[in-house]
Amino acid sequence: MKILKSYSLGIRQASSQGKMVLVLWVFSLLFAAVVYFVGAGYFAGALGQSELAGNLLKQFDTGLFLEMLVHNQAPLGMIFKVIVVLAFLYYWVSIFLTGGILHVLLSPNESMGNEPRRRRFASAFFQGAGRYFGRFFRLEVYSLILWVGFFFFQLVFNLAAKPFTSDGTNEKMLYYVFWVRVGLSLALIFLIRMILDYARIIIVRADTGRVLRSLWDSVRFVFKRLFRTLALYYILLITGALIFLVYWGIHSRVSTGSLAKIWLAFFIGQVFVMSRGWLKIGFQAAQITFYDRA
Amino acid sequence: MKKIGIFLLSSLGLINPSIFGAMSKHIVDYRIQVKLQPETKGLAGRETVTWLNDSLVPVSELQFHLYLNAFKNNRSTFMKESGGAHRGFKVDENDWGYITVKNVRIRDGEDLTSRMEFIQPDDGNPDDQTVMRIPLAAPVGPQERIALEIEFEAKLPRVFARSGFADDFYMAGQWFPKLGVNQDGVWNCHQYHESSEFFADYGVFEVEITVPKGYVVGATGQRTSERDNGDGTASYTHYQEDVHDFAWTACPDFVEFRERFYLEDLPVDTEIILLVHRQHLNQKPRFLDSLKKGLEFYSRNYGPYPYQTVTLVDPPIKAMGAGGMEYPTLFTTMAVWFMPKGLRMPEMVTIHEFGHGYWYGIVGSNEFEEAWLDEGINSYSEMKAMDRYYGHDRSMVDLGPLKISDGDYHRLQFIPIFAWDPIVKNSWEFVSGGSYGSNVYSKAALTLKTLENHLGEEVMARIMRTYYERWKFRHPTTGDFIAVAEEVSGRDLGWFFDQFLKTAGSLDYAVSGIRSREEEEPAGFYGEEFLAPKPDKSGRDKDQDKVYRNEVVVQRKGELFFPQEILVTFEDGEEIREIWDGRDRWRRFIYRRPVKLKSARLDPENKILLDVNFFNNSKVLKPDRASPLKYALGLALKFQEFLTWLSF
Repeated sequence: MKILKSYSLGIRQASSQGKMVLVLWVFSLLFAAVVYFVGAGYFAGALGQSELAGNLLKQFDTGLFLEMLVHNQAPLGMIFKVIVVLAFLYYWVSIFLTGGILHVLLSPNESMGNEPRRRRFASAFFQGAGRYFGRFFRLEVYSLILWVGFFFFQLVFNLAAKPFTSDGTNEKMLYYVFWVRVGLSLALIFLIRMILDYARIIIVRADTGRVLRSLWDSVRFVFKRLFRTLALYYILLITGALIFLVYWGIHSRVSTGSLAKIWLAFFIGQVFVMSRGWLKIGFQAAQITFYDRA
Repeated sequence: MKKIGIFLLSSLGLINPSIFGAMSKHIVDYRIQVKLQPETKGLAGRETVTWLNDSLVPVSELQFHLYLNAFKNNRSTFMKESGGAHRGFKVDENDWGYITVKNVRIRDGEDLTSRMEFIQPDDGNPDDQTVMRIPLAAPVGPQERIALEIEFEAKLPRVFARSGFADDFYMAGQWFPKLGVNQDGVWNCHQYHESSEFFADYGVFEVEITVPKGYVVGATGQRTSERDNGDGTASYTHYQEDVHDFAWTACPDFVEFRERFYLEDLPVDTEIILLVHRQHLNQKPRFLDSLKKGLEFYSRNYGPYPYQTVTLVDPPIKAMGAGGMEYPTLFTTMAVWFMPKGLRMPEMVTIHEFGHGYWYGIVGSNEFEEAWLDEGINSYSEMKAMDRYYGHDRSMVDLGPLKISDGDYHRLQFIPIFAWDPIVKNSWEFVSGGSYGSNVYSKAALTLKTLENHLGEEVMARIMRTYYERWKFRHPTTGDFIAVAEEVSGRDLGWFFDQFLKTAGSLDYAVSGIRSREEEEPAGFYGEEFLAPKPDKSGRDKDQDKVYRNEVVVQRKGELFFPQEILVTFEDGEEIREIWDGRDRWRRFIYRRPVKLKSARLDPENKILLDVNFFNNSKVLKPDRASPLKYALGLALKFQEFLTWLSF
């Protein structure tokens, strides 16, 4: 019951944070804009005045598209590098933003003071983001301990799987072992990320600079209630998966054969991105609720 | 008496093999006993080979391929050229392969063992032992035969390039001392190279294969007997006429399936034998279905499949290096247990390798010197078969929105690296394996498809059928193919073949300019008369029709030429088709119309598949801004989706 209560409160709280959703979306859009401009330059150059641009508009033709890439290979490396750098930067920006989310969710009254409502949100959010970024950065560094554990797990898994895979002839076994590895690895990634979520909550809740201690407290907290913390996390993950399925179902049905439809598809995509921002807040809010009531 | 073992035979009978009911002239006759020794991965063999000197001159030496010696050490020509890797599979330096001729003698006659010597006709590499010559004490006269008895031992390498073993799977290809081809008294017997396959003469093969009991055996030809030797081994004898090589495979994990295949309206009645590895039983329907399609397509389009059997071998995952290879009446395919249905690799490989049975097996192309006659013609045939049975736009990949045809696949292989070599060239002289593959397979296939589009499908079908019919069980050259093409089409095609087979140039046409400019009324001095410019620049009243000077410039950017058709479209929907011989560097077309141009397009039906860039074949007056927007927004959105996963 505590899990479902935390879930529903978290979702409800996220739903009341429209501005926060907007901020997360704007940051995502800013990063995407860079990719858009790089991509637009590339595709405009590659397609030029060719009539085939119209063909590719009406219908995606894999062979033709690949041929376009083959003829315009040189910029692809640069585009790839831009995307990798942006993704790396965004990772840190998202950690920065998490500080704002937690600050607003954990201390709404204290942080908002007597300032006008609009300014209150902005200052509280970014004040929190800035205030905790250093601590969250250190947390990411300390979390390397957990990631070492993750890679140790891979080694153990390899050893454990060796009797089943060493001769390399049982293809079914190789296939199943591969998927078991993917499943377990994902579960472990989720576990680590969940521990880090609670560590951040502990840091903000206590407003403490003892980051390593918070990480340790989070590990203890999670493992003491492993089933319940995981249950809550997976309910939220399933919510995300359902949202994605709905989005995918709608988005894939929108043919992008005209300018209006291209924008419609992009708009649907932005709604999805916003919903993911909303869910991110939901994750944090639900876990805060669960932590406070545990 | 000096010519003990040399048999004088009636030249009359040999010149016309059909008198004996044979399809080919039997130049060679091999009778081989071989025993597999699993503990050493070795073969112990004894062969009697009879060779007919079909030339008009006496021949004083014999030359043999000893191809397993390509895997003998890291200095063989094959190992040097390949760097010890083939199609992504690497040599295992703990498991080399080799063949040793222990004894060779003329039947009932002279021992020739001491006369054997290795030669390196292609590159002079002294470490290469893949070709052996044996000088004879007395030459073999025209239309005479010589019979040799050879005892040999071999060790199979761990398989990474066609032949070898992996655990208890064995693929024995190029495994016995095999004669080269004597052409007009000169031996055509090349070393084993990275980028080449094989060439040999037609004849009769009878091979007895002894393996441990429990192994499932597949081999070239029909099984004529099998027996339990009572010592833990079993022997299987296979016999086949009118082939130029013999391969076999053995593995206890094969599951054998047999099914007869008939075509009601053609004399095709053959037994399909599938040797499916136990791990891939789920792929069996795909193998069977695609092999039936291959049998039907090649029989209907080129000629009825003439043999009594066709054997498909499915190697295990650890022996993928043996996959995708052809031998007479037997070929290896390629699959894994978890291959999605939309990835048509098993189908493509099956049809392709079966097809080699026609262009390497029945038409005896020389793969060393003119590999395209097999690989190229067969890739063209495979492309047509795949398109016919699996859809012209999705014959290779059909996974949701991802659709790739066999033709797309060949273009993507061809475009990046074709320009290093021409198609017709000694296989080992290509700059790289990539250039060999790009030219000999893909460019050659696209060349024939372009020729088909140029001549018409019906004419091309007649060319292929005539070529097959005329050259089956013989050794044609590129010149023979061209002669058939010119004869059947009734056209001089020298310009075509000279450019696309024999040069490495590129074919690239482009619409380099397209513009519409409003024509102005006359102004200025015309003789004595001065015409003042009118206030409206066009010189016409607003309600008067405008006239545009519409201009299209097309350009030959590549070195090669091909006649071009240009489709010019105007804003009012009017279409004009222009013909250009394509020889000049550029050509301008001008049209005066009351409407502007909309677009100009070279080769509007995409017939010229050798044009290296389809994107510059057309131009529209108003560029389509929506398409770059679509893909750029799509890229941005995918990036955002990725970020949501990264930061949840």
